[in-house]
Amino acid sequence: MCYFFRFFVFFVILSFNLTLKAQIREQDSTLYAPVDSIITKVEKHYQINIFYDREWFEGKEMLTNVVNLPLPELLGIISKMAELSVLKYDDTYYIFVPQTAVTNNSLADSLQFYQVGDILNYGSSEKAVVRGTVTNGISTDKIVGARVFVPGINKTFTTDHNGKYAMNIPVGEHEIRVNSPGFEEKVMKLKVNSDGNLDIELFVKSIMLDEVAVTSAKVNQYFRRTKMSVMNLDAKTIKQLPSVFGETDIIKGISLLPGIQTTGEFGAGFNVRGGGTDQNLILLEEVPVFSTSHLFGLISVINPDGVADVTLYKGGLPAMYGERASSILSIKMGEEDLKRTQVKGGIGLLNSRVSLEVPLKDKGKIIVGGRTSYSNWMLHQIPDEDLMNSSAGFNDFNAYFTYNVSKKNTITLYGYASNDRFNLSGITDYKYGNMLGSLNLSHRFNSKLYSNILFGASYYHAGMSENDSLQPAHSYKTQNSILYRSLKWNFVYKLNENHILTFGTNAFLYRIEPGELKPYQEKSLVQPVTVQTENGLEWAVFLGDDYKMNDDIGIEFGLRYSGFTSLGQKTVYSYAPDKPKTSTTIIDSVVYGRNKAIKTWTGFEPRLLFRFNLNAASSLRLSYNRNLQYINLISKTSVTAPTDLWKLSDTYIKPLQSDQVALGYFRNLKASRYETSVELYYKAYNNLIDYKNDADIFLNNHIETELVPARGKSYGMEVFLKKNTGKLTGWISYTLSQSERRTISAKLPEQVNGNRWYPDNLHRPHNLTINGGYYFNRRWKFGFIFTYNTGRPTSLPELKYQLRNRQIVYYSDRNIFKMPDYHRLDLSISRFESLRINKRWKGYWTFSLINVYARKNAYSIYYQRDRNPDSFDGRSNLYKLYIIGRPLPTFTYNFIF
Amino acid sequence: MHKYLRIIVGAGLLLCSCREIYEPELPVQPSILVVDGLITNEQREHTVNLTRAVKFDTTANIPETKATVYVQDNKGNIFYFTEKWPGKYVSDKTTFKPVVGYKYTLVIKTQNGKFYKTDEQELLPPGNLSDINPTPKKVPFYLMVDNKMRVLDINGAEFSASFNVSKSNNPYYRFSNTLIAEFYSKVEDSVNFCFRKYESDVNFMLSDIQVGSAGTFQQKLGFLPVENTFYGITDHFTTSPDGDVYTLRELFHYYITIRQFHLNKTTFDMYRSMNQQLSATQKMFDPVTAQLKGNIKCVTDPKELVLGLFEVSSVYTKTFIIDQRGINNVFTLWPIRPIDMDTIPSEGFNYDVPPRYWIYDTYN
Repeated sequence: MCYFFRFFVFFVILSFNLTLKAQIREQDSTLYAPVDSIITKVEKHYQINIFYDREWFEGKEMLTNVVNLPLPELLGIISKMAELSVLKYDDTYYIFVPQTAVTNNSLADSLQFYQVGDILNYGSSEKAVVRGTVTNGISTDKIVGARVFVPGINKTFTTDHNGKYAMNIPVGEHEIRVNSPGFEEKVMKLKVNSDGNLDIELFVKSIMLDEVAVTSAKVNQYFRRTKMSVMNLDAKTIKQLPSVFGETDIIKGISLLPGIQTTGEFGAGFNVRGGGTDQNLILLEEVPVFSTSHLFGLISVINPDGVADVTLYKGGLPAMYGERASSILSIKMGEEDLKRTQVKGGIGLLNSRVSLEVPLKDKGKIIVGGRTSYSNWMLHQIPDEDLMNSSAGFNDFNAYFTYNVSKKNTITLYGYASNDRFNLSGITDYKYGNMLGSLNLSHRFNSKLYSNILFGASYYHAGMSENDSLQPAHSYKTQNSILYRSLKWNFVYKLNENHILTFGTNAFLYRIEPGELKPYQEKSLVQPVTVQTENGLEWAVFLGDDYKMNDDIGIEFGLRYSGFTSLGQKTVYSYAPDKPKTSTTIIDSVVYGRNKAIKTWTGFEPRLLFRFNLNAASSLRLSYNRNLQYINLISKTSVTAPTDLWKLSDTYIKPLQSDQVALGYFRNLKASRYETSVELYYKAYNNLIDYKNDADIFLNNHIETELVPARGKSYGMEVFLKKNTGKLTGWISYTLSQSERRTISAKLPEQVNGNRWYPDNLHRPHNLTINGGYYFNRRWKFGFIFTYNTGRPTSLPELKYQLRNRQIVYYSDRNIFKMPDYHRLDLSISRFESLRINKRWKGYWTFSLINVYARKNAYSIYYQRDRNPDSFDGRSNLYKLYIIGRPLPTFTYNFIF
Repeated sequence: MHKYLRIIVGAGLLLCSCREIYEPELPVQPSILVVDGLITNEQREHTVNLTRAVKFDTTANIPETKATVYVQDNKGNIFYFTEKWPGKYVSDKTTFKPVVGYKYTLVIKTQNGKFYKTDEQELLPPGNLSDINPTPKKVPFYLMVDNKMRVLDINGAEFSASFNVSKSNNPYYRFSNTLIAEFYSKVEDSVNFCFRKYESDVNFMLSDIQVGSAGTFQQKLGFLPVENTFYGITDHFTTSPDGDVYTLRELFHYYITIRQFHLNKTTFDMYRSMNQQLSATQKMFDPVTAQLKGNIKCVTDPKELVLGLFEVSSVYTKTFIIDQRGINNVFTLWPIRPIDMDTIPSEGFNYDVPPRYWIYDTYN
């Protein structure tokens, strides 16, 4: 009762207060208006776009007639109301950012130039004494020990116990850098005429303000981009996503975007617009990584620390990219502006990570990082005999180095290595890992011509062994690997501001060891088997032309001509033309020598992108691209497994060809606080690989006898709505799509579903993602992700019968049924500590709850005899296997110092 | 802190994947004929079973009765099969002994007038199974003990066989193993002659020889339990309500028969596909299960789906008595005359006189 009374009194007082304010406002309504609406008027009046965070001006009003003031003066008034700075990107784009976020040289050049001393005395002496006080810009406290560095004379001056400094420097122009631990460095340009005073304010930089500034910049970038079907996530956005085991995951984050799907909690890779996982080229510093997951898909192989930018091309590919049929995911490291040496890391339930980032005197940087897991202890707690005797773990390491050798030359080195190991019951052992590296040499010939040479190599290996001490005679090990080497030489030629040419040439060399079976030990009686090595050379030349006809119309044209040659040493079999290809229909064979050309495929890959700005906030895009892919992943599993094999195009496997047309409408709302887009796409595939019903792909020297060619088509609509600023940020994405395929063989045993169109494994018509974060205040953030997908297609048993005293089931035609729909809600709460920069150690805790309402999402539907001891009657049932059937809490701590 | 850590760890353990029964709506299917036929180079009753496939979620078994069934060879000979039990058609063992090198075709005419036929299959020469090697091992089994299901570690042996293959041979083999446990039980003054049969694996054992390879091959033949507990042969005395005293396990013997079938490639592939289905757990990275359509076609309506398998294969059989009196449970195998264990029921007993299937007195 007492609480109720207090609430009642509070309510009455509040109502009275609001009423009073409303009356006052009514009187002034014609003179004053919210700053937000004033800015909108300014945008219309001056035909410009202004980007800012509405919260900065919440509750603030100003006189409506200020709109008539000159633009610089007007922007100055507005910026002072919230202690902001104004950045001007060109004649039409202005961004408000917190003053503390404006730190780099270019901004200093444009915004802050100080005269010291009397200009009339300039030249009367060679040197002058500049004095002043360095204070905290907010509290006005004097800063003791602040350093004022003058690079031109390589001298540093320090403030005394009163925050005062004095420096005797030559007259003339100087750049100075003022910093103090815990404060943002300030860069200023001075013109020293004679002795004089210069007081300097420094501002404490908080984490949150920094993020807001970045967001504002991204808003602008999004709106101005000419591409379509391209998604860009900055690293900070991805790091805020909750994921299984608390590990921030870039691949899983990508899957929250429209048109992107994964198979669920388990399984590596992702699918783009109906394309298989092998149709995505995932580039780490321009070198492909062939396996993208640790722990069979639970965690991505990409260490989030050090990642600066992630860009996904779903369509409208630039001509410089090829190699895969569906998408390019480009992950760039270390482009963040690094000011001091710092250590980043995270401690989670299953694994931890740490990285060291060192700047090299404004000329470059070094980043070294690694992760390791300690997941065994969790397996050993699970009350299952097999799992208690099992072990699983991974580690990875990455290093990045970039250095500006001269004004025209930059060298960048990158290396990455990962290892995974999974041992089941102490008998079956899986090992797989990536190793890749790149050397990138950038050269600027002049202000118009740039070139980039990249040498890259990527090696992926996977192995499995079985060694039962009770069965030494049957112990064996298998191994397969792929080695990829690349040379890319790309040029950018800027004819003028509106016309940019790209051209270059690429070459890729493949060597695939498809498989080898060996005895595990001396006592083993297993006969060794080796499948023939595959070699191939892929090459491409390309020309791209990005032409901006005027402010509203632009066109990007590209032509890529690529080819692939399958190389010896290899034995190629010929099959009876009128019969299905099997090992019994071989009629001849030809042995090709080392590096002899066996079969060559070539083709054009045209690209076209048309851009039309409807007005300042909305635009239309239309794109077409053809891609050729000369390498495929051979897999009969419903999800990608680490032991799946790669296969090059050859005499029988034609290059996969995809043609995609996409049309998009993009509109930014409320001064780009909201981004919206709708994209329609249609994609047609030729020469897809499909599998015979009873295909045996394990260690098969005649793998072509198990594969059948197919055609495919995928089409759909993607809707995207994103809120960039404010306490609540996030996006909603919805995809309506259809993915089908059909085999095209005239021979009955090579037909799937009688050559009729049937749903592709990736066919999931409805896909909805709602991802958001809400900042209660600067310390607490609440996050949520809701995903919904139509169930995956599957084949189910329809009939059963007895054969050789076994119960056999007859499965339906392929993929004519679907699994139950998938949906899941994940929540997270984060607490940010040490917001002030003068605390060198910063960290935040994240507690996540995965699968909040305990949905038992089907990973697979399978048939099995009932081996339950309580009903040991040999009955058969269909079962739904699910990975996470209950709410799963995870916890992680991330830090930087 | 320790307390909170335990809570987090405990929660993390909930990740264990699980399963639950799934019952989708399945469409009604037309009646599909299933053929289960096998002829070998043996002089015996060869069998062709005809049934109709039933809906997955039902339990009925529908025999196809009153059909005309015969096998035709490439010399123009026809061998009719007669219906011994509903849906079970057998050959005349006195007149039909398939010949190596001949090609055989199965022809069926069902009651509704439809004709079904297989492609010709050649009867290949039998294999040359040589040594059999037992490796002692313990394997956990679910067993009913005192009316409760328990998991017990059972002693037994993992058997393997070796055989030679020449490069030109290109053989496709499947193997079967069968174990018979024989024992006496006494009731007062009378003796029961009991036997139980066991086949090791639900999967078909197929040779994993690669085409073109040659040499001596070691073939895994599966685990067979060689322990009294497993076959319910307990060494104890008990008294029935009417006062009779039972003494179990007076004497026991174990025998195994290994059979090596030489198949053609199509049949081998069919078995391999069946194995894929039988062994599939459909867990994390299992292959997607596929349709098994069989090697029989409907001549009257080529679009009609027909299931099952008609197999023409030669067989080589070896039988051993297992001597388990060695040290450390090391088993020794003594070869005896081959026994066709397919003709022996899965279990049985006879009072006072050994049954027809009794091996010990007959062969030792």
